[in-house]
Amino acid sequence: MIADLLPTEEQAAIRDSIAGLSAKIFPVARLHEPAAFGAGAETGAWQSLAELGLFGLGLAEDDGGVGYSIAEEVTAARELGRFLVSPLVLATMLAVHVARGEVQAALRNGTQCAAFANPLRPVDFVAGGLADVQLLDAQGAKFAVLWNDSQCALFSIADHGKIVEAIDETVTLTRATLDLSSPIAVVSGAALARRAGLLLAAYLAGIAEATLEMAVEYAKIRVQFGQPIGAFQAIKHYCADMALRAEAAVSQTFYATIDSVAQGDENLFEMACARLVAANAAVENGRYNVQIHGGMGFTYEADAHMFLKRALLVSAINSGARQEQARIIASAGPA
Amino acid sequence: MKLIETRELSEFRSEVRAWLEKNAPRDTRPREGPGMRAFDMAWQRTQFEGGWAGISWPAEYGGRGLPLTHQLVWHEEYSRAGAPSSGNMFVALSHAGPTLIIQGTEAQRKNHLRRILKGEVTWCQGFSEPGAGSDLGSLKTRAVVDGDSLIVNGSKIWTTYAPGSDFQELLLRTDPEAQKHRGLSWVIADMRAPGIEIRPIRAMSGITHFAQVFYDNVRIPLSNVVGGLNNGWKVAMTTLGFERGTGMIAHQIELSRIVETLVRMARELDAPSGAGCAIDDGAIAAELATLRAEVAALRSMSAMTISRNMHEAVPGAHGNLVALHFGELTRRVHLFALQLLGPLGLERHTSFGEWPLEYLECFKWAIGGGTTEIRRNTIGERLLGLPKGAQP
Repeated sequence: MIADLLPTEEQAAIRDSIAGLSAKIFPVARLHEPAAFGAGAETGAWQSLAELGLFGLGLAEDDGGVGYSIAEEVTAARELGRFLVSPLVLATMLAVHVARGEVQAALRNGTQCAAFANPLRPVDFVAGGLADVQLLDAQGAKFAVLWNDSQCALFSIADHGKIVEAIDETVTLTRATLDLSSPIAVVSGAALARRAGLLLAAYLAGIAEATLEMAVEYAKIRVQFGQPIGAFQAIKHYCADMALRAEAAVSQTFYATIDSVAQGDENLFEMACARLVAANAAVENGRYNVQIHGGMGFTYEADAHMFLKRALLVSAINSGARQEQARIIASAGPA
Repeated sequence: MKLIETRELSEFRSEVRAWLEKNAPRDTRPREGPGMRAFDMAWQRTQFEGGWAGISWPAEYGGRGLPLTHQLVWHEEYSRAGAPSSGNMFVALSHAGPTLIIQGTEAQRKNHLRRILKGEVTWCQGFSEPGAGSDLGSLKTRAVVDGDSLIVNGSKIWTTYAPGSDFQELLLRTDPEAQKHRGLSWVIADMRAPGIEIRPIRAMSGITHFAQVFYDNVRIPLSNVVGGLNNGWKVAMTTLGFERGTGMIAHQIELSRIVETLVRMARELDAPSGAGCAIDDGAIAAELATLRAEVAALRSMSAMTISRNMHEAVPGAHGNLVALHFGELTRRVHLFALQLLGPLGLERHTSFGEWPLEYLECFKWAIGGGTTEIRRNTIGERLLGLPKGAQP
């Protein structure tokens, strides 16, 4: 497959408008205020996001969407990762592809939102029954989206469950139960698993890039032994490795995205590789960003820890390294 | 990000695939010596006669004049067909040719490009010296202007495929007064000129494919200077840019094929516990999956580099990311192969292949053409804008 992985003009415009809006209303520093936790800032600005067309980017124009492909949604998700925007936004971007009719319209136009449901053990939609899940930033959401490789389902949630303290305290995690036999909308097949995986990989790639930039900026201004620490090879080489991981994450995510557009089938191989590589890049870059910030990096006051925690949280949504490895090894491999 | 596999490109792909299926050499490529050189040249000749040489080179010099996308399709299919590496033709095809196309004079292009594509000549590189490896700018091999010639004295080292080579891309100090990188020139040397002596060096794998080259008053016409006298550093960076950009794509795609071979081997070999296949072992499966993902990402990084190159003529520092990843990853892949094989990994020749040799050889990708440490410095300074430190 031959692809041009640089942004098209339209993708560059989408990138710039999401980044511009996020810099204004979702600066990472907002997360120092508990009022911004649990998608506080996002729910306050939900209409602005809807007006940007974010929730209808990949929906057909007949469904009231913008009519773009997954490539434009991935472009947006990468920017959302850079600003640690709530996973509620990603989940709603996914849910519009499951919902139909009024619910779809409500999700698209920003009057409703949907949260990620993260199952505690693999779900079996055929067998049905109850599924224990974690809901992510679901306090204002009426819906939750849950998927495996054979189905993606949208549920109505009346009870958000009990709040549990999360590794990333800026995201509200609740424990709830979903009745697998009564989803309000369902899409069969692996297409939405692929879409979800690509959005999450793009978000993680965005974290990998943002942490690289933070670390490099700090290495340029922090002076020790009479020179910026970035002049020392120990630090410079950490930064080079961070750049490599960020490049790997973005490139593989974009390649997998174009592959998903090109191949009509439901092959999840490239997406699984993207999730594995992007999760590793986000967590490792998050870790090295803390390290390069030294003592400051270890404090609550700095921003560095927020990226690491969010990287750990998002890489564990409905999958993890072991699951992706299993998927990759069970696959027939690259086309 | 968009698909550019047009219908024309797909047709081109089918054409390439069919031709390679029929014409790619089936004999094993000799590992060293004159037989290896003859093999590489014959295969190049076959490609030229089939109309497949120099796909992105200008048509007036024997190439096809097609865009980079076609070149990429060629590399993909080449690897898929398991065609042999360009070997003795590598420097001519991936360094010298592209450099002459951009920096050479009309006479230099006319004189060399077609002969390269036809597989009539092989080239070797002459950049590193015993005292100038990573610190390439400090090289000392001198060239003094004498009439319409340069007189060269000194020595170059790590010259792969030097024995038998017809030409050498030679980086020389032509102005001893100038600052380190300023007084260098990139010169075409005829390897048969009087005063050149080649001493082969055996690599840690046991294979002899590189050498030290000595120059004793070697006379080279001034018309062989490429890109102007004392402009050699810039020309050399162009040369290495190709190696770090598109020149290595074939090897990167090849690595994906090697990992797929390992997946097949893991289905055949016994698990370390003795129960079931190796691939049923959780740790082996996890590592194989990670390697599959990492080589997929390497391929995607290549695609990203190609995408950038489609928008800019001369490759930038991004190619270092790909080369760094490749240098590190190839060793992980080959070490894993030995571990997967268990006791068979100790034997140099088994029905599974020559994995110990492949492992020992792959170190060259983390050292040659810039060590992984130098690549990290370049990424840090040129790509990320970090300050240069006190010279290490």
